[in-house]
Amino acid sequence: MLSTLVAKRAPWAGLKTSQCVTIVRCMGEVSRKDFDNFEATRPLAPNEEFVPSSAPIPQSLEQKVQHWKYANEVFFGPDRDLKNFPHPVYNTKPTETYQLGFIPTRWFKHLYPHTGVSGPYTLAIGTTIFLLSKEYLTMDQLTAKLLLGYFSFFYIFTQTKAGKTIKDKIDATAKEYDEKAYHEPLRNAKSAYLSEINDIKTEIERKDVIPAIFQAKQEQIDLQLEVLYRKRLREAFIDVKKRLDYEADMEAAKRQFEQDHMVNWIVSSVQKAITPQQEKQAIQSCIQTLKSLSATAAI
Amino acid sequence: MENAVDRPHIRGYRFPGPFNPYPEGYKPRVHGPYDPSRYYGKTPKVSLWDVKLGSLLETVLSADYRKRNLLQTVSRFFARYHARHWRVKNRTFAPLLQVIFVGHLFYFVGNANWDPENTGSRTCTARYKYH
Repeated sequence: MLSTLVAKRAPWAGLKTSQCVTIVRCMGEVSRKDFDNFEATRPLAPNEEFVPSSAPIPQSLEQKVQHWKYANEVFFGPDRDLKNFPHPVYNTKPTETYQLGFIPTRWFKHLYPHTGVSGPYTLAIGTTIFLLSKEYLTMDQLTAKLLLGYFSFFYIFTQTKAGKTIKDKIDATAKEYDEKAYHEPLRNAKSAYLSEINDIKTEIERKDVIPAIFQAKQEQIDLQLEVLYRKRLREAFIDVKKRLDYEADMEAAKRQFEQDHMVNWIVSSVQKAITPQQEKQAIQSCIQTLKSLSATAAI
Repeated sequence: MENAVDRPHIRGYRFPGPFNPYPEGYKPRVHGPYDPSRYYGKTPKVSLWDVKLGSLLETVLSADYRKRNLLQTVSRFFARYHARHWRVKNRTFAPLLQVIFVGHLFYFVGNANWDPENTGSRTCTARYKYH
């Protein structure tokens, strides 16, 4: 019921995937090698490599959730009578106990009010003895084998130590097989899924940090932009300063040159204008002033 | 919402015609997952162990011997038998012995000679005449 609800696999889907070659092989002359060659060389259907032939039709997660919800609603709804119709259980041990190795104790309990404790045993063994004595069941090869086999089996497995060891060995083998085929894969799958869940959790935690990281990066980029802006401002400032300095230097040099030139020109022209007579007069006047100074000067 | 699960026994709804696997009276919302060993009809079936010995013949003779009911009864018996004896994780030898014994029983009964002149296959090995 559950599987039909959840899997949504059409009953004839198996026929689609079954190949004609398998049928032909059953009929005769196709060898395993031919089949393998065919399997290796045949063109694949779209996405066949991802979908094994035994897998159900792939569904989306939403569809699956919807189906599970519907199944839950049906099997655990308000109308469900869990008292009279409990869920089916897969027992680990048989619910029945057995008498004489194979007859259910339930039958003996049903017969107990009529026959007592020994009645069913008497019925079973007495009937066999009656059939043998009247030779409705003749003691031939098969009957002897059957009875001897049964009694030896029963005796070995219930009365002797060997039977117990055999039982223990079988139990141990079964347990080993169970461990190998059921528990170990289950444990592996569980650990794998748990690790996957942990990975996903860490990813989710990382997701929470993403806005902070984004902001930090944004701030960093803003800082970088600021740095660049200031660098360019400085560059512009330096360049403008350079140009202005150049202009100022040029102006200063020009003026210096002009000044020098003017001074030189004036001095040279003045020097040119001075005659030797003027020079003599100037020296004479100088000597006279020195004389007058020396007369008046007191040490 | 009307769905196939609510009315699985209706013909042509989800499982058309003879392909409807569910018997009449099975309601998934009440009974839960389908159990093939249960009878979902209105009047519950009475076990032969609960029938008085005096009325056993009457019960057996007045039983429903239609083909459908016979098939369903046998199907339910085998499902129950498997659930009780075979479908367990740690199985015992008992069900195997049961199959062996029932098989031999069928073999003996099938090969028994019902001829009073005693010329049959198996009972020809009988050694005693007067008992």
